[in-house]
Amino acid sequence: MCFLFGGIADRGFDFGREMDNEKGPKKFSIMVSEDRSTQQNADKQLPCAGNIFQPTFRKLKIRLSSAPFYHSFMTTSGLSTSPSSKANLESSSLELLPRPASKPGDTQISSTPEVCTSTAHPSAVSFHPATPWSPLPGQRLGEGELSPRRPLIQIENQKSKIENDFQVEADQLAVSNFLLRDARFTPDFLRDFKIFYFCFDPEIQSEKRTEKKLRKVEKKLRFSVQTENFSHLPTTYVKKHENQKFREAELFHPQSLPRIFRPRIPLPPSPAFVASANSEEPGRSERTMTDCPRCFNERNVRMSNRNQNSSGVSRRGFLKGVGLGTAATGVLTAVRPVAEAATGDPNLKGPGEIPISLKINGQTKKVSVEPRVTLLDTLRNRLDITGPKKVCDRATCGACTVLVDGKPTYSCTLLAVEAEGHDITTVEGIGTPDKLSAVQKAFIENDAQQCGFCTPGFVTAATAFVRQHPNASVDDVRKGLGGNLCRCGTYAGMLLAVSDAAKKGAV
Amino acid sequence: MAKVDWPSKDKRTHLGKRISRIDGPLKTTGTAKYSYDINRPKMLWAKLVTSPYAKAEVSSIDTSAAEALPGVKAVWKEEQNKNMQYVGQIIAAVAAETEEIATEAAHLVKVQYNIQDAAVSDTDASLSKDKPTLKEGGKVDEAFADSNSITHSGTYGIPVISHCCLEPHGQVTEVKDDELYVWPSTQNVSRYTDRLGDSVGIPQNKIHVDCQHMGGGFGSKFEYDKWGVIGGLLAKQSGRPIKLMLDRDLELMIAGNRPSAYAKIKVAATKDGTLTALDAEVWGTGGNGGYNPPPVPYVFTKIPNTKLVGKGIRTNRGGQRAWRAPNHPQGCFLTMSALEDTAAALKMDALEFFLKNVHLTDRPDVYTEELNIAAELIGYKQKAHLRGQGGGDGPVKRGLGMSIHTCGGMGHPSECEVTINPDGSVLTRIGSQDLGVGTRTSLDIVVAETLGLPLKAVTVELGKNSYPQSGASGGSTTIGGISVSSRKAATAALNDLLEKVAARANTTADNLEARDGWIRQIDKPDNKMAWKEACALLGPTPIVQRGKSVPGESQKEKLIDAGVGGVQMADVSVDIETGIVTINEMVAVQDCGLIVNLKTAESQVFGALIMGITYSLFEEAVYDHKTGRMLNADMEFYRLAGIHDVGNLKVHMMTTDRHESRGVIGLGEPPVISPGAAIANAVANACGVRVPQLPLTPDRVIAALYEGGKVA
Repeated sequence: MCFLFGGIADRGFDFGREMDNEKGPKKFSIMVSEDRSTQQNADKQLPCAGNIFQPTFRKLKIRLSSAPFYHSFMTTSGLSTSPSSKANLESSSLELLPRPASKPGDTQISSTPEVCTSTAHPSAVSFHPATPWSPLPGQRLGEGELSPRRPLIQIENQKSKIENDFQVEADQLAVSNFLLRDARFTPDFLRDFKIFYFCFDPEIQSEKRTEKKLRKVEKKLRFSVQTENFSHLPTTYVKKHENQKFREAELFHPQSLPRIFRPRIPLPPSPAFVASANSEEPGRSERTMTDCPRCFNERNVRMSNRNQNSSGVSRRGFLKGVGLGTAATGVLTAVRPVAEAATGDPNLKGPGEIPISLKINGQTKKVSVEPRVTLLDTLRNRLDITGPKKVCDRATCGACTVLVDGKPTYSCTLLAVEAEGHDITTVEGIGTPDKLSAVQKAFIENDAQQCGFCTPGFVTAATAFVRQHPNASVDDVRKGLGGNLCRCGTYAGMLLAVSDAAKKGAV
Repeated sequence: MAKVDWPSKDKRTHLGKRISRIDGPLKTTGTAKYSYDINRPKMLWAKLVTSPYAKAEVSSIDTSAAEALPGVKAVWKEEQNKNMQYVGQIIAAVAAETEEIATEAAHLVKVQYNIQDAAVSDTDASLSKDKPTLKEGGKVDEAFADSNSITHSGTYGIPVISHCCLEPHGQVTEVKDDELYVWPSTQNVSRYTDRLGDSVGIPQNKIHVDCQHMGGGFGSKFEYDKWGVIGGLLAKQSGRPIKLMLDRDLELMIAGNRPSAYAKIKVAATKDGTLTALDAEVWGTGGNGGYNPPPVPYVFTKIPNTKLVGKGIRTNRGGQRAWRAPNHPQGCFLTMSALEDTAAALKMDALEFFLKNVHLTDRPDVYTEELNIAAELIGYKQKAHLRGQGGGDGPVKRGLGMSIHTCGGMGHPSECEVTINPDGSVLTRIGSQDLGVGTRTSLDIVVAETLGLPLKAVTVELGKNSYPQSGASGGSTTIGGISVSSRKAATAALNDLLEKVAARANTTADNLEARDGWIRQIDKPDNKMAWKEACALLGPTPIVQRGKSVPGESQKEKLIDAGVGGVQMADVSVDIETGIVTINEMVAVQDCGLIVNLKTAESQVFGALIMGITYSLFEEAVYDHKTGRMLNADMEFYRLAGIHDVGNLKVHMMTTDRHESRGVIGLGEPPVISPGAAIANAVANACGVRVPQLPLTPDRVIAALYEGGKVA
């Protein structure tokens, strides 16, 4: 069983700026309920978080502080407005506490945001950029004019020169799948908003392991997680985990989350690239997705902590190495000669192109790339391996899927220099027109492609899926291929193709 | 002599069967090269500099820093039109050695803007400044005043969405020896160059277009666009090939969108459920251009009293382009929602209501037949209930909804060339494109069918403008056009061959046919000659024949036709506590005349259902009211349906004689029209209230439930 619930997250690395004035760990409590749409099968195994599962949170307290938001919050469903006041926090509320300006020159918000309280249970509070899209037809959503049903909290970011940091305390929050998937925020917003999501599979995690993991997560994220009151959960589950105070897991279900953990942001050009094998605590991993058997579409393959001999990258590490000053000023030059790297640190790589050697489809290819170039761009632009496609460039759509040491990975968010030393398989390595693999044959037979642009990514992901789940049913395929998107709508054929190939056992 | 008509069912070898795509092996192995994949020697990467403001005037463009960047080889800037009308409008472009340098250089271009106030919102009719359009028939006021009828009013809306093709717009351009070579991602190979030559100063007869595979167009890739011109100019300036593909955010913002439509609709019907009047006020935007209100009432065009007022709102957003069945999805959603609401107001079963009013459409018997088939496939009798009676104590309610649609689809002008070589090999050439709908395979099927050969014996070449001209892939016109032109070309070529064989076989060409790899006498099949042997009679000269499809004429010959029906039903579950809509099942019954390849035809319908689920539940272009920026210009938040969002899909193609005898009709657009309406109606049926606006996101469902007094 996997559950998904929301909480706070950071990006797994900090840019050296404190998001929160408060000292000490942030506290929040979360409660989770099972997927109500399968209520009639309460004891039935729930699917992996992120795709079909839609939890409702009865009680949620999030305290998070954020840097500038770009968008506004909106609450819906049975919420009424009332002036901002801490005293109003009774059953459930979403309160916005403006933070006083911390530095001279920071602007205070000009008007108090409205507080939405709700006595309805459970209320669905969703975060949306309020202005553009939600008014009902014919309803104007202009300046100051708001539907009483939909109180609006406007928070704009510093770019708009209006607001500054906020703390949000929400007692009730329905964080359902849609919120995460359908969220109207940009990656910027989420980075600052600090949301993170957990998914856990109690069946495969023993209490001890969970405790241990949770400590690690806590340390990393610097807040504590508490969960309470599981009386509404299926009894078998409750009994099993009665004494378990903490729930934790890691989720990466592709369709469920914004990809905040590995944002593909435009870094300052040619940053110094620090390969530091010692920067991390031993055994500490950033985002690995090894535990959930269903979430096999692993992204952010972090090799550094598993293999000391590899390039040993960590975001924290290289940013420390760069120093924020250089990142900020960023004199823009390109293709600087490698010699300029010069701090004397032998581990420093770049700026400018560096020679690397990649093992692709069983062959070794030597290529020179800047450290900031992704594996996808290296494959497509330097090596003319155009099977993996560039579509979203944000680890969302999966068109760039390749296998790194057999695990499906979004090559658009893996740096080429990180991929050194690992076995990379692209769709070209899975089969050729003269020698098609079983999965490819099944795709053709079941017409699982139309324009074909998503097909290489799907074939690659499906190949890994079939290897890991040899007796997959159609439902398993539904969950398993959630990391790839198709616009033409070839899913119907794909479901048949992949379950077909899985049954036949061959790969 | 072989005739051009379509063979009857008993005589067919490939036509109408389920045939796997012949380019499947290329696509599943990553061998297929799309425009984005073309890497030419010494190629440069181009990136665009675009306006971050929705309305601004450019006062100066300074490209000096970009030009000074090592690795930048060419720069272009806008000289004429300095009026920015939408975020993302192109102001300059740079070309550099690598993609990274080009991106950097684009950031270095300094542009000074005078920012102005932009118009962004489209949800309020009063924002319309254009003169309203009016279309009326009969006397609506009288009809509404009639005391014997009931009236239902509602407001409905469907927002702007983008095409979101996975392969973005763009092209690779190369100038060599004063000739221009372009590899564009296009749905219009033959006419791509239209006026491109003027812009880059190269005559049209020296422009070569090649597009073998393209990653989705959906109506947005007919033109060479501004970036096509820029690519050509940069190629000339730098003397090197240029790859210019739009980044994902620009792709979603400036490469076209589907206009929105909001409407206040009033419906009048007699107490027994017959429609008498429909009055609609529709408004919406398609960017900064003009606006065409969608057809309301949709499909029920024979309602005696109708009025349609259209109010277009011009906004500072990227302009609209044809989106699969332009204006039909909007018209269908608005109309079917209003009609289903009327049925609910009358406490009448929706299917009964639709069947009762089917005489007000152009093809009542087609719809009746299809509605009944769809009802059977979805289990209507067992599952249907009146609105809001979807029962059960839990928060999950289940319901059914339906919608009907229509589309044109007459085959476009097309010319094809078939060559029969003395060694027996066959080559088909046509300047058409294969968007992924299976055009290559359809050509193979028709030619192989005509010549009595296996599919492998025919080679199909398309995608170049040097091949015989064929129409653009739009309006569901490709299959009609290419199937006729290839049938005619192959038939003409076959007849030439039969003449040669007739002499040798001691009979007349009229008495010969090509079947199963043999040329044989019709009344005495033992008198036959193997295909290769027959071709050897050609001596050193191959047969080369062309065939043309001309829309009106080919229709008279009953080879192609226009006008299809189509019915879709949806079975959804709505969780009234979280507002989440789950698709349990969707059924599509579709007719499209004679089907060339049943497998790819079914895939088209499946694909359209899924595209429909996407725009019904997830897809929306969200624009910020103040800045005019698209807030979800990426694939994370511009949500497409994933494989788990799609329930059970059932497709039934109408392949009875009555439909086949009409000839080939296009299928690309019709099935994508109804899903929005069907799902919205199902949601209303399930949870008891109408959620009036697409996409049916959970917060909208909950808001509607709250207003209907039904929140949990």
